Amino acid sequence: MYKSNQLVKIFHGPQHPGITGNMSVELDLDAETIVNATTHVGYLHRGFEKLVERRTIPQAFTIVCRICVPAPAPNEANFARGIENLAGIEIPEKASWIRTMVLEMQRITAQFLWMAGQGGSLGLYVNPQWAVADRDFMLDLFEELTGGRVYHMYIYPGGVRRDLPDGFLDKLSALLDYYETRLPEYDRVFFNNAVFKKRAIGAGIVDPSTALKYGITGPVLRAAGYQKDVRKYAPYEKYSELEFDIPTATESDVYARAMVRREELVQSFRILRQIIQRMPKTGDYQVKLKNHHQFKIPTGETWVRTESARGEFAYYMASDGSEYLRRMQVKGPSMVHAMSLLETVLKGAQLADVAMIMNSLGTCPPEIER
Amino acid sequence: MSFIDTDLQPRFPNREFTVDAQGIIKTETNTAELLGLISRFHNESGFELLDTISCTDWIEEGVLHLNYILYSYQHNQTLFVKVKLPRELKEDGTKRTVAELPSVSSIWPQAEDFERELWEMFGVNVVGHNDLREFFLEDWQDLPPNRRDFDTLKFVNDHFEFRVGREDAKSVAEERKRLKELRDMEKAKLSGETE
Repeated sequence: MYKSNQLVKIFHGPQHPGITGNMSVELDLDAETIVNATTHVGYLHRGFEKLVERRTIPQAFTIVCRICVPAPAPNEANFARGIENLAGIEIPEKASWIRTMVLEMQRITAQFLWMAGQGGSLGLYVNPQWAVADRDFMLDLFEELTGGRVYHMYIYPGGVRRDLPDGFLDKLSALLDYYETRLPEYDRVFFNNAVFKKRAIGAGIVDPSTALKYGITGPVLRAAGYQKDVRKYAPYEKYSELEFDIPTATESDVYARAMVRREELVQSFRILRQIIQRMPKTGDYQVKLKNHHQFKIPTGETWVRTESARGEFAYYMASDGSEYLRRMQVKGPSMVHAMSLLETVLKGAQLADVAMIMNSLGTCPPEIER
Repeated sequence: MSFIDTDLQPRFPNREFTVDAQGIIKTETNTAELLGLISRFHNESGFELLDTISCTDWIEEGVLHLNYILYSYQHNQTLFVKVKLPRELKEDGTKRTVAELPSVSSIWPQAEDFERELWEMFGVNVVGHNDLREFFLEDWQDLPPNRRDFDTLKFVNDHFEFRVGREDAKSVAEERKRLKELRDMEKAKLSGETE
């Protein structure tokens, strides 16, 4: 018999439109309103951290990119920079410029993937189709540069794996021109869409007063009014030499985060244009490492951070003097965004908004469960 | 004047701080002082954020090295608060350490998830935590898997089978060696013929 004051418990996931990968949220519902939410992970655990402990550095390098599907490059960059810190390797100038370029290209692909997911979670299906198609043009360039579309295995300890192909920068420049013509179109169908505005404004508000302390990073933090970006406060590679702005908003809702991400896309174009101008024509792109069985890393520990499109990606690495790492610990933004933050934000939200909020917070289960 | 001289040392006169090549400040403490010390770093020195808790198993020394990685946006400084926790497990079959680690989730709610992972993956006996339940693993009865003495290969052989048709899967190194020998033989044969 129906009792009006009874809560209904449902499992949202593990497959749903909100995110890349599998994760479920256990919801206690009072009609359509969420009273309590608990995140459950464990559908994707692959034990990468353990696998890395049993592999030499070049062997381990091929699996770190698989930690996060939408953004493999920050993982490669963190791993490479961590090894370089531990082994005391200086990378060539050109390698550093290429890395910065790849990281920024990766941020663009991740923003397009977010845009696709955000549209999909609201039933605005033009957006996913356009965004995935536009992302594919960048993947074509990745394929030309690295041989891989999604997992590049390109940013390598000591530099990058290959030099730029002939005419690559011209192609990149042409693609940026195309993207710039596309943005007004996206504004028309998505960012200025009345349906999106109506659903997103005022939804999924993250409390700005606790945002810094609770470890929230990336666009979610910036939409809460904090101008914080790893590329500015702990610059790596060539970011300190480039000009770009950190967009912020104060509303801290789904719409504010969307607009921050849109502006970040524009800033990524701006950064890439500068890189195209300043990319060294000649020079080495890598330092030769020793044979992987002789490449022993001195005992030590390091902590490296990269700004991915979804927030701060950080690695803790410890070495014990052998050719294997003693420990590599990954901390992606989702460890906070999909767990303690999502559980808080979902309280009081509507069932229909769960996917939209998850996507807006930039949750990515593969990187929680690495 | 560095941040340590101007800020940390006056507040913590008896504490030793070191800085590594990357500029990360490090200090070591024990489990008894941990909670008090870390909340002072949080409340007095502006380390508002707990980024993560890293754990490394140094089986040779019999300790788990824990790093509470704190960050201060205000001062743009990273601080490692180090704790060495004896890795010895209890004998009651729970597979958790004898040594107890106080939870810092009263200061940072996200620490709950970091500690749940330590509890599950390294068998750290976290005390004062509200919600210690399984995280990634399901009905796990074995040794916590991120400990160095957990034998991955044995676990795989005990729990999984080779896919049908892969029983003769050869070691890649041996197979390459065999192919190289074949090639060398053919080369030798060819050069013999030309002579």
